[in-house]
Amino acid sequence: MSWQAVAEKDFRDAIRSRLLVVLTALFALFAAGAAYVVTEIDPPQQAQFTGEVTTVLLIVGLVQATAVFIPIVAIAVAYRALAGERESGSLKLLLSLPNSRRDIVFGKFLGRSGVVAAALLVGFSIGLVVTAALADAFSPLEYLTFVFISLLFAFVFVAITVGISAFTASTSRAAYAAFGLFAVFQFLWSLLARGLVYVLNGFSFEGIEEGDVLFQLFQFLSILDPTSAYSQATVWVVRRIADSEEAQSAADAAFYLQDWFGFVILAVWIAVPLAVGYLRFEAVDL
Amino acid sequence: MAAIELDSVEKSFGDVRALRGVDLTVPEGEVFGFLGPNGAGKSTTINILLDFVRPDAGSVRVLGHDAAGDSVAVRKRTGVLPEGFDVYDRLTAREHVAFAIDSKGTGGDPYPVLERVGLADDAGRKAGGFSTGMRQRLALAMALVGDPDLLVLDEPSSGLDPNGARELREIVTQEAAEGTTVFFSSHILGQVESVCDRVGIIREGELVAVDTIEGLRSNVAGGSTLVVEVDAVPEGAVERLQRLEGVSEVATEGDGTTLRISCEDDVKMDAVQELESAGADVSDFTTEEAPLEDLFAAYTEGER
Repeated sequence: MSWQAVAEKDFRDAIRSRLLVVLTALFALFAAGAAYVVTEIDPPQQAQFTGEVTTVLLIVGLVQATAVFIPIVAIAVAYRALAGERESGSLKLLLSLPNSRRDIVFGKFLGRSGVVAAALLVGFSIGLVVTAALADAFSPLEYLTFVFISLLFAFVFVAITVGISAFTASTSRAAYAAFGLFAVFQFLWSLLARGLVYVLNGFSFEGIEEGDVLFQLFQFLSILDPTSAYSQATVWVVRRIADSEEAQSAADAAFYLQDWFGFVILAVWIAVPLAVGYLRFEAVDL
Repeated sequence: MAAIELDSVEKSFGDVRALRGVDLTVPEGEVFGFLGPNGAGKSTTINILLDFVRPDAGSVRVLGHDAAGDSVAVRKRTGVLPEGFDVYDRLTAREHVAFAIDSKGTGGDPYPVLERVGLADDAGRKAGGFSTGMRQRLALAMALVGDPDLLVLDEPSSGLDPNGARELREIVTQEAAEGTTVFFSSHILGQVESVCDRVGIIREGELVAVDTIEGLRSNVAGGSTLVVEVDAVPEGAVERLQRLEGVSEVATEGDGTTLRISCEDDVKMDAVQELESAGADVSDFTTEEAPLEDLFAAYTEGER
């Protein structure tokens, strides 16, 4: 098992990238800035109502922004993982050693995940200081939970990007494909889900009501989007910690509408792209 | 047991038939030179040995393992200097070798092997600043980690200066003396001549010859040339020589007192006697071996 060796080598290599330093600095600025905006400039409505910015409200506000920023960091760190080594020829060095292709894909995922985690933890630590200073009622547990789920979300995009990177020897193609997929998740997913339901319903939305099979399909498709899954999982956990009643209220909905289902989605989005990328990488002439 | 066994190996890339049924056996402990012009199928063969590329047909065994099915076991005991590789710009030489040690699971210190390839003073430098020759040395150091049973060197002298090429030959000789099988590819025959026990020549995806250098020479018509000095070339002597079996070409040179006779080795004396019986006074004769390039060209160029 040489995946540890691959992961360690990859971490050492990628952590020294200048791009990573830039991204970490940007993320730190972002985490601190967003905390400031949410608390001081544009507090959530509920905070205006109660007059108190809690950690929960802050996180609910932050999730919208981290859902965009984290994938960008993850893709930037991971898109060269396999394609870059194939493009430059260093893959020959990697494969000349007794590393199986599975060790390489898995080790790459771990190495790049470690790098992204390092960058995000630096950023979140700075955000933590700002949040603690600004929030009226700061809860470290809620914030740490948010950080943990955000890392999980970052690993999803590392897995997707490493999977894509296994398909091509061109780093630019890997980057286009990964950012393209990100754009689909971010902007098009719900439109596509709507479109599918529209087509399945005989090219109309007529007659679809809550509780219909097609309506349930739409809800299920919507939650499959990793970005939604991330928001859902974050909100669920943080609310649950802060206030158990609210989390209880949704307990009678379908399983995929349960907030915990977001975690299942995130886990699937890590496992499947890695498996698909590995199968492709295993089969190809390098 | 053979270190390398290829049996009817075929491989195509799209319309290009890179290998057209290659059979080759390299016994353990041999230094084997694998020769051919660029694009003849050398790298494809090596890539198949290492499972970078899978053959369409045929069987490939390396160190007793199936090359595709059991590639990690092959690479555990094989050191590779790949062709057209790149290093990790942001990692130091020491980190590169440490990675090779971790991957092979052999343990130990990177320093001795870096010293062996002449990179001891650059161990802490990032490989991104290395010259082509230093990158080549670094990859060789990684290949030598764990004392491999088989060394595969793909065009190893391409980035090396003459000094580096000499040091590489010394390392190959040392490894061979310890019983390591060496498989060495090149497009220049002269580079492999001094180190190889046998050479194989590949051309357009087919192995056209596998032999010792001497064997190759004697197989090629005109492998050696007899140069004879005479007082004058008698009438009809050239025709008489050309009729001798084993003589392929006769040319008169200079002022007409030098004859160059391309022939097989065992008819040289017959040719000299034939000249004398034709009335020539032979003052001197020497044998010239064909330059290696001509030998190589005889196998890799022209009609087949």
